[in-house]
Parts: sequence; C-alpha cells; structure tokens
Amino acid sequence: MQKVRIYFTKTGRAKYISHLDLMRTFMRAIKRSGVKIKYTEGFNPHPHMVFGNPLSLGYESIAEICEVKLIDDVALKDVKDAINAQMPEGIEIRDVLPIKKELKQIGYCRYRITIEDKNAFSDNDVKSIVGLFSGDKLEIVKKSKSSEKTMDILPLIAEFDCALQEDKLVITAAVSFNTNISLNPDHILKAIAEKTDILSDEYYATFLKVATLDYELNDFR
Amino acid sequence: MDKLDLLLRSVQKPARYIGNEVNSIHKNKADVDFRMAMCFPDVYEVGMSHLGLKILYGVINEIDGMWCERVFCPHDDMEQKLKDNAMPLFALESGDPITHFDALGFTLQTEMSFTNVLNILELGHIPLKSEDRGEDMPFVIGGGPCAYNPEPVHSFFDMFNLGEGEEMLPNLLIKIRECKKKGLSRLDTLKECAKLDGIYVPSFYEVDYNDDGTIKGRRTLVPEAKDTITKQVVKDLSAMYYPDKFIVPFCEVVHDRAMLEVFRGCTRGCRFCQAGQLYRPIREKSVEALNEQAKKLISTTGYEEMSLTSLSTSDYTRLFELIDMLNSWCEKDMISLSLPSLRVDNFSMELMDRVQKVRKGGLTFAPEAGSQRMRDIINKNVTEEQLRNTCRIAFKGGWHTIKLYFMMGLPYETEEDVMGIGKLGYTVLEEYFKGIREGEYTKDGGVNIRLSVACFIPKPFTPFQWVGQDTKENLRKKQIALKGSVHSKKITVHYHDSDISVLEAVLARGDRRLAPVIETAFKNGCKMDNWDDHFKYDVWLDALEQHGLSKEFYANRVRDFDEILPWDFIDIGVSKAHLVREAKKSMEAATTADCRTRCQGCGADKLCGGYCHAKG
Repeated sequence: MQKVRIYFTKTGRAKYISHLDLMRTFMRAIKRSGVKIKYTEGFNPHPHMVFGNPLSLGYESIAEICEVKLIDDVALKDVKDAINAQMPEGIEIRDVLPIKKELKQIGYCRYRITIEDKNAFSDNDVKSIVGLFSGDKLEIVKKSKSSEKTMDILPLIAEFDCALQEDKLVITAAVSFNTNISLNPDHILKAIAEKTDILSDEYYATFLKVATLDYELNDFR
Repeated sequence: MDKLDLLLRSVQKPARYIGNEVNSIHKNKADVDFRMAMCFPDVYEVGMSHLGLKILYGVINEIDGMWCERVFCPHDDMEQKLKDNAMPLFALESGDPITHFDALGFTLQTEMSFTNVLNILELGHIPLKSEDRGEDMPFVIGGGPCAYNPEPVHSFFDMFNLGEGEEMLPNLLIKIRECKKKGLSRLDTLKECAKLDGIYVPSFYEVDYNDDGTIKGRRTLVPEAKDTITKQVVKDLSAMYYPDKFIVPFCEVVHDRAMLEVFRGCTRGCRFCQAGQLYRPIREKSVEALNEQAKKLISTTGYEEMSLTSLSTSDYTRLFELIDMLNSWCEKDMISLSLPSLRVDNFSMELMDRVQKVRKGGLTFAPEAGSQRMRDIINKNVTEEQLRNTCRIAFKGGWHTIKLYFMMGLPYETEEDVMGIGKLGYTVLEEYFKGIREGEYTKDGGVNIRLSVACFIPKPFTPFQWVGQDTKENLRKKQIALKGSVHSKKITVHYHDSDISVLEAVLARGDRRLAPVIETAFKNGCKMDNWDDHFKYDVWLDALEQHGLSKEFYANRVRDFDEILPWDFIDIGVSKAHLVREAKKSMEAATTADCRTRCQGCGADKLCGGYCHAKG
C-alpha cells in the first residue's frame, strides 16, 4: 500500500464546486478510473481521502492537494492518467507523487489577485497599495456573527507585490495558510477598500491560488 | 469577466447552474439540426433525481443531429438576479436562452408544478399560451402522469405526449424536424403531429358544458384530431433503450445514485393509486438485461449506491435472483443496493440481508389506513398481523426507527378508522416491547415510531375518480383528534398541509376552465406550490373566485358514474368498466386479489396485443 499525493487544479467554472462537492467528485472519478484506493473500516466504509485546507468557493487554484492510499502497485504516471481522464472540465491532475513533506508543514499559500474596476488604475495606485502593505501594521475589522474584532493582517502576509497589467491591478501575495491561522486573501482587498479610495463600489476581483508553500516559503511538494 | 460569472458569485450553491457535469452531453451546433430542451418544472436538485428525465435526455441525444439539453427552475435568488440583469432563462449545456430551441419538453409529475411551467416559459420569454406563439417559437410538449388529465393546462401546451417516451418521443421529434425541413407552418406541423398515435393537440378540440358545470361534450375542430387518444407503451422492456450513463451532479441532489428500472405496472390494484393503473400492463425486464445495465451505469458514473426502482420492486418475480446476481460483483466493488419502498406483506430478513446492509436510518412501510375495514375499502391488502410480524423482523434486524405512511379523508371513512392509525402505532410499540421480553433483541437506544398522515386526493383513472375529497374542516378535525389520541413519546404523528392537498384535488380532476385560474394565480405570484414557504393558498382561492369557479365543485363533489369526465377521451388501457367495478366493490369494503392470483380483466393487456406479465 502506498500513500500518494494528488496535485490538481480547480479552474474555470469548476471554481463554483464547493469543497464537499469536490470530495464527492473525486470519490466517483477515482472509482470510475479503476484505480483502487483504501476505504475506511467500520459500518459505513467510504474512500479514505485527505484534502488540504478547503479553497474558498469562487476561487481558482492550480495548487490543490488530495492524499489517498493506493492498494495496488501501479506506476504513478498510469494512476495520474487514469484519474485525470475521469475528471470533469476545470479539474486537472497535474501530478501523482509519493509524499515527502507532511501536510502539517504547509505554512503559506501564494495567491494572484486580479482586480478590474470602472476606472483605470495608475502607478500612484500601485505605490499607495505597496506602501499600505509595507508599514508597521495594517488593522482591519473582522466581523463574525457574534462579534467584531480588529486584526493586524501584516504578520500574516509573508510576501507582497503589486503591479499594473494593462488596465488591471495584479497583486501577488503569500498569506498564512495552516492549522494555526489562515488569512483569507479577500482581507487584502478589504484593507485596500477601507484604507484607500482606489477602489469604487463596483470593483471585480478574481483569486487564483498559484502555489502551496511551506513555512520557509518553498514550494510544498 | 462574463455576465454569468457575475451572477454566479452572488447566489447560493452556484454549482447547480454551471452544467458541465460528468456525462452531460455537448454537441457541436454545426452538426445539429434540431434542438430539444427537457424542462423539469422544479429546481435542479429535484429534477436531477428524476429517472424519467435521465432516460429521455439519453434517448433523444442518441438521435443523429439532435441535441437535448436541460432546463430547471432557478432558486429565488438566481431568478431575481436573472431578472435584474435582463438575462433570459438558459439551458445548462449550451447556456443558450430557451427561445433558441425547436422544442421544449415538460414532464408533469405533480399538479403543484403547473405554475413552475409558466414561470419557466415567462423567464424564457416564451408566450404562456399556445395560441400566442409565433412561427419562430419552440413547440411546447407536455408528458408525465399529469398529462393524463391535461385539460387544466391545455392552453399552455402545443401538444401532449401520452405514453412511454422511449419510443414515442423520438418519433414525435423526428416528425417535427421533418415538418421543419419541409417548411410547414406551425399549424400544419401540429396537424401532422396529431396524426401520430398517443399525441394530443388540445387546440384541435372544443369542450361544451352543461348549466350545472359538468361536461356536455367534446368536439374535434380538424379532421386530423382523433376522438380518442390511446396511451402508447413499450412492449419489450429488456430490448428498450436504457441509458448507459447518468449525469453525475456536482452538488447534492435528492436522490444521487445509480437507478435500475426493474419493471413497469403494479399488480396490487390499490384503489387510490393512479400510477398503478397508468403504467399497466405489467412488463418485467430480464435479470440478464438488468445486470448488464447495472454494470454499464456503475462503470460510467462511479456511484456507490444503486437503487432498484419500480412501483413495487419487491413484487418483481425474479427479485432474489436479480439481487444475488448484482451482489456477486457489487459487494466487492463497495456498491450498496437499495429498494426505494418495502411492502408490509413480503418483508423478510432474507431480503434485507441482501440490500441495505448498512443499518442506518429507519424503515418505511405504508399501511395507508388505520382499520382493516378501511384497508379493504382502498384494497390495500395488508393485515395487522402482517404489520406486527414485519415490524418484529425489522426490530430484530437492528432497525429501531419505523415510519408508517397513512392517508386520511379516504372514501367512506369514519372517525373510528382514523383513530385506528394511532392504535396501530401503539400496536407496533407493543410488538417492540414484546420482542424485548421474549429476548429477541435488546433496548439499545429505544424505539421511534413515526406516523405520517397525508390527505387523500382523488385522482383521474382510479376507481376513486368519482368520490369527493373530504372537506378541509373535517380533515382538520380528524388531525386534531388523532394527534390527541397519541400520548407516547415514542410515537410521533406528522401531517401534510391540508391547504396544498385541497388545491391538488382541484387541479387533479380539473377541466379546461381552470387554465385561466392557473394563469391568474401565477401572475399574482404563485409558484413553487409544492414548497410550504411559497404556497399561497389565498391567492389561489382568489383566482378561483375571480373566474367564477368553486373549489368544492372540483375537489369535494361526488360524480355520477355516467358523468363525462375531462380525461375520458384518453384510453390508458385499463377500462372504465373495470374502474366502475372496483369503485362499487369499495363501497362494500370488498377486496380484489393481486393480478397474479387471478387476472381481473382490467383491459390494459390490449395495449400489448393481449400480453401482460401478470397473466403468466
């Protein structure tokens, strides 16, 4: 029995598939592929699959992870091809590899946030944003059902870059993403909206997770 | 950024609007000369659970040059977004508005979906009435159980497909395509379709009424219109088309599993049941064909559960043989089998050991009535002893939750009959404790008996099509009395809303004069009538009043045997004489045996040249 990690993408319309839906999709795709994986024991056996932390609904990603235990001794490339052939559009298996780093070594996630708005952005806007994220602290109000808390999000951002791409703003940031604390990259946008007047009410942003990183900001593989 | 993306980000569970599910079919428009949209008049989660839709989707897509797509009712939030953004309702596969299609097919599973049909048409920018549709509009086709009394919705449909769709729907669509190629007008196309067996074009008929509101007669308006429309059936189920793939939804739907249709028709003859009459004569699929279909479905879907579907699966004559053959490969592939319904009179551990191996949830049985007299009147041939034995087997088998389905407001019912429901609950409870005393099982978490009581609704083409529904006031009185008679914490009593039942009774045996009522109710905000939080009883009552009609006339009135009923022009095989015989027997609480014991001569066999599997 071999524990392997499946690296996959979730893009296009597949970004609207919820995490639970995704688990079901994988379960059935693997079943159709004929690749045999370990099931749980007990009264109600189901396939044993471990996913990385869930991606927010509506976000795309090229760096998603799922771990399974293969029962047969098969070439991992064949496993990748067989499962990939059963995936719906928008979910693509990039690799099936043996496990080196454990899931608990995941520390950060790198996101690319693309923003468009009714007015064009300027170099000054880029400067303001970079400035906002290179200060001592950056507090935002985090609202939950029961309370409101202020939170300094700067310590949770390990990398930050902002650039103009034609009429769009592109922010690349590595945010905390682990079992201790995770920062939803949406808060970056909220901070910009609250602390500057760069964004109008009608801005439109897309989120793409481009990499999963360990605590040293190296690629998590 | 496309417009749909903007909408999808702001609605609940957007996965139900994106299409592109595994096994959904995408064709190149350049290779397609006829486009069909199967419109299920309810939300995605309900429509995607429906076997009929899967079958028709598959069989139409098999036709060269034809592309069938799916349309469902949007949930409220999505509907509002579509309207706010002036976006018409679209089909899931192509994303094209429904006006781009040659034909729209609606499957009418319940009368409470009628306003949803209108909603889909309106959201799709298609005129609600057949007579208002121009030459460029799709043909609107209706089918399903409610199509057997199509009259209340006659003005909204261009035609109805009366019969089993696997063979007749492709024939109909091929005919429409032929007419389109010949450049025939809409009217001439309808005339060509009217010539086909089982196709009903309502605009070719006129109905006249007596002063008392009953039907005086029907007239045909064109020579192509037949006086009688005969239901079409498929004779050989084993050779019949069955999909080898099901679309696998991304999100959770009501029934998310592989389904095998095992046989059609029902031999029990319960007098309240419309489906049991509509799907006669009895035809079974062979075990070998079912096994092959099962293997294909599982390999293309990856489902981990498979249900054996039919009106009364445990009556399939080769049931154990089938289950054993399926289990020979299902067990090791981790696929569990299930039966959607169980009968009180043939429940056994031999059966349960083979299906539903995971003892989760409860078991459901349907005694339907609280007293033996009442069960004899409705011909539900189940005794109290059978119920006790069955529940005992269930308790022994590890199920400690039992759900029992009943109806109230049945014909010739007395209060004593209704109180019998509560008594049966106690009888089952007694049986549970008896089993513990006799050492057959231990308490282990206790027992839960749930009595679920619906309001009886008389339906067309049943022996009860002439009786009146009990009044709302009587139904409420009985509900309160019943609930008051049950004191045990281990027995719970649940009701169905009697307002919805009253409306269903009005529409089920309605005539053409209800069509404007339905339109008015819809225009005043009625839709999703099956959902408690949407149903607007007062708006419906207002609509009836506005058109000078009464709910009592349709729901509560007793009809004479010689009254012309709105659906008399349809021949479903089962004869009226048979229904009258059964109706008269019910008045004496006389029972009729299962067809397999003795053929009752219902007449449905004539549809298959004298063949019915029950005749042996």
